[in-house]
Amino acid sequence: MRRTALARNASGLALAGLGVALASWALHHGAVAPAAAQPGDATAAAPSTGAPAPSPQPGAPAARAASWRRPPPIGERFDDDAALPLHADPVASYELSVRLDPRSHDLVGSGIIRWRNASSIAQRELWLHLYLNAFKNERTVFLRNPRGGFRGSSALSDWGRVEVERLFARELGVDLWPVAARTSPGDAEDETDIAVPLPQPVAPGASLTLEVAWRAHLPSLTLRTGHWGAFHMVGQWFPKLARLEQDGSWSHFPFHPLSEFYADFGRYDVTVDVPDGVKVAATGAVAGETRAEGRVATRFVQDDVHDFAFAAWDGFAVQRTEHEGVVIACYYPPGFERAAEVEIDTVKFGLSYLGRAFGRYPYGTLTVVHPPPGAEEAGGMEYPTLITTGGAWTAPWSGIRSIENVTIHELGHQWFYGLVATNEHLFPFLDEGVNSWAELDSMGARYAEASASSLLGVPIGLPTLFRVSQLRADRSAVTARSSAEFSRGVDYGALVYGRTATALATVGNVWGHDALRRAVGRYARRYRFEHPGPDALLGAVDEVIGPDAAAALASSLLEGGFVDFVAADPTSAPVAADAAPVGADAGPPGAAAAPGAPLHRGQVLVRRLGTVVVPVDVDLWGEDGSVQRVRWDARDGERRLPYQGSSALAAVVVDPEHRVLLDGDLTNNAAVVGRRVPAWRTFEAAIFAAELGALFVSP
Amino acid sequence: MSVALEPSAIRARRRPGLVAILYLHRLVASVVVAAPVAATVSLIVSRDPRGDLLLWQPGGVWLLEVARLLRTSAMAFAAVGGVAALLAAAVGLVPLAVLLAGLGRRGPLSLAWLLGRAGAHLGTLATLFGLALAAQGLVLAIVVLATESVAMTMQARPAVDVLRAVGWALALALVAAAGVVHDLARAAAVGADCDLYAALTRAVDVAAAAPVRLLAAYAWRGALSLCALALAAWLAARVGVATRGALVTTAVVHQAGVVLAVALRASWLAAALRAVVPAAASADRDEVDGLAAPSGDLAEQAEGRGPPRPVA
Repeated sequence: MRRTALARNASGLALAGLGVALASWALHHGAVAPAAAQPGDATAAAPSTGAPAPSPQPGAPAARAASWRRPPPIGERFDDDAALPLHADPVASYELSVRLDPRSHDLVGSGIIRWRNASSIAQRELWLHLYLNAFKNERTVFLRNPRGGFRGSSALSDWGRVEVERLFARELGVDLWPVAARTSPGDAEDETDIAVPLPQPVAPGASLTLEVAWRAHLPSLTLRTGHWGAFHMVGQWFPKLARLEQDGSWSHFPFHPLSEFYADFGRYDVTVDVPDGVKVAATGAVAGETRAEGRVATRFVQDDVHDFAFAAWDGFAVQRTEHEGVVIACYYPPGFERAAEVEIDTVKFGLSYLGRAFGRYPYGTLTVVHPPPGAEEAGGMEYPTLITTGGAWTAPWSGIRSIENVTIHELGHQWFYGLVATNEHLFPFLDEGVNSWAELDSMGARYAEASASSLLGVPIGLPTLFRVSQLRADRSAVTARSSAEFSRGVDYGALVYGRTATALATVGNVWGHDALRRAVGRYARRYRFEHPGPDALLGAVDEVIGPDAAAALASSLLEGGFVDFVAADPTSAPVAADAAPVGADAGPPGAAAAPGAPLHRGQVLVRRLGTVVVPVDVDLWGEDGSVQRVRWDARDGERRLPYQGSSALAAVVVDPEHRVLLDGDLTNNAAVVGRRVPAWRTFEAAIFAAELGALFVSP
Repeated sequence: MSVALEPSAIRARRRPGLVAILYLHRLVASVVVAAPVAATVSLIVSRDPRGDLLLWQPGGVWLLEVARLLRTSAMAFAAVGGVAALLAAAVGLVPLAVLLAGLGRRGPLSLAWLLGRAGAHLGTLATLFGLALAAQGLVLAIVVLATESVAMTMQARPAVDVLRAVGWALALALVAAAGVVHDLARAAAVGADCDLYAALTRAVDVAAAAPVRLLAAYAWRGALSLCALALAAWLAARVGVATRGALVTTAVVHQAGVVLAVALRASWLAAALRAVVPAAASADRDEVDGLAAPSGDLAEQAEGRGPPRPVA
């Protein structure tokens, strides 16, 4: 899903849990303060594996307890696609039929859910997500906890709901639905998180074949799903099993306004029945079509996915093409032909770039849906092999790359959410944040510094936008937390999208973009078709780049760390040419003085505020225009750097190339000696701008 | 000593000095409006030896950082800038009146005469300015609101956006038409020595008699001005501001565009004068001008119906 409007944006700006394991993980690492749990919000961390935390670096300040545990090394064999897993373990497969009535916005569905106990513990219950019940009334968890500042439109004009009618377990010979809970645990007003007791335990490895039938009514389009006129965006529309973790606990949760989704992989074989003339864009490839009595039933099949969604509208125009063996179909409103071309072009670029970086796209189809004007809330969303985009039809000519950015972002989710199926509810930063970094990385590769826009000749980069977006949140806020723990939508957007992307971009700027891409690529390939947590990502960064980079990321995302570099007190004085040299740890040799020329020596004070340790460049400017660049590892909180040159020290600049995008305050990164330089360029530009404005006001 | 020109001979190029005064007013007013913003930006970036060159770095890190830091002051800047702009516009009536007065004369002009002639009509010009702003604002609001009310009933794109574009184009055309009448009234007030009502009626009559010709005269000069300014902006963007020399060149290019736009404005005002100043009254106007001169000799001359004498 894309970030907030910034917005646009803004925008603006990502560990599967099991009860007891999460509590012990949190206590051990001290990373995340236990949150006030929502009723029924039973989550737990994934078990962390691997070596104990690394020992502190020599000379570093006293090490804090590590907030993550290093997993087993992944290895170089995952740096390319040779060892790429070919298929997921099908734990929960759905063979469904659904009939949509576009006039009443009703769905009637039935089918088979094939589920296997892939954990190590016998199961005495199932958990179902009934997401559409979030829109049943204003008392649900979803609607009674409004989170302004993020996506989502105003009040619903039409409620939504899903009503299960039958859940017959063939192997057990019983309809489970009559004994299922009717509400979420501990919350009589919410019906999105449903426990289904089993009459007898299901052993590890055993399967259940569930005959399911249900009716649903789509809400008016308020958040991703619903109807707008004849347009229907149908997501989270069927009773969906929660993910069962390997240790036997269920990752179930009520549907929270900032939460997204999480489920097991499987095969989806879905037949969508709509009136003739309505076009359907869906997950997977078309495997058959039948027409009868004025209706069309289209069968879509897709293996190795964990969700299925579709859009239905009689107004779609369609363009189809193929790229690297993937059939790309774009469904868009009339008049948006140019936008569709941009989206297809961006998808082609993204399939190649993201595929090379994070592993080959494994599916045969990629469907793009550009919602019609008025249905923008359905846009900017990802489902397996189906993405929704958005943007005005004039956007391709505006100089703002809104369409390209939303397209590449949603396509990137095919890797970060789709293939690496992290728990979007528990750690939204792992998909939204990592994917936001993938977005800025790929767009930067294509458009350099103009990856966000190129307006009036001024190139603006996506890293800049993400940096600004994340500054809207408190600099000490923890990013790696459950979506339910964010009290404001603006914080969710700023941290989950912005801070994660900015932290990763900082690592790339400081330690190398290729190295970071290789680290994330190794992580994405190794954990394809799995459900990793934060340790897995940090482990990959640690393995490929090094412990300092991993520590910086962990500090920023898991511990609420921040960084602010300060430059101060540049001083220098002339010394005799034959004066004794400065000490051995003085740093740079400095400019050698010409014979007989005065030598200047001095020093500057540089400081690192905050706990995120990243090495940084420091430029020492001489009055003669010379610039000496030194590298400071910033392990100490502050350092006095020596200066020696043939002219007096005029200024100091920390991080002159703005590599440390996490730096929350750029205004203290430099200090000058003496008079400051007026902003003549700004003055000239402002005068010209005022003269242009005077065309309309002045006589 | 100057004499009244035949209207057909009124040309802006005859009075480059007065056109320069118009440009200088615009430049000074822009400096006043721009100074607070520039000073604030300077405070933010001047600790860095690269100064505000940071704002031009590709990627926009510092540009957006400054914008973010100024965000909370944006309303204050807008208010101060708006007030300054309005005051500058009001003050700008003086060089405008001086230009209109001088364009209709041939020969050397005295500052006293120019200021006197201008001052005599400042009240009328100020009233016309206020009326024009109100009329243009009203026209803009009515047409845009009507367009939006229709657009909201439509759903299909790009039809809705095309409708909005047409609506805005119509609104701007009507605003321009009001601007044409406004300029004609100003020209009549100063050039034909009319009071407010006479100036307005004269302007409306002239506009009604030749609307297409007048709109065309206004439009081609306006279009050329926009092209000149766009070209200046484009060229300056290519020159950049990386060095001192580049900054100076950029400033020169920008100001060249503004000078051309001001010259075209003066050319249009001259055309407006030609349209409103009656040709047959030029001989009488000399006598009228003589009577209006502060000199007592001239007044006696007028009473005695002696030969007309040019006004110094």
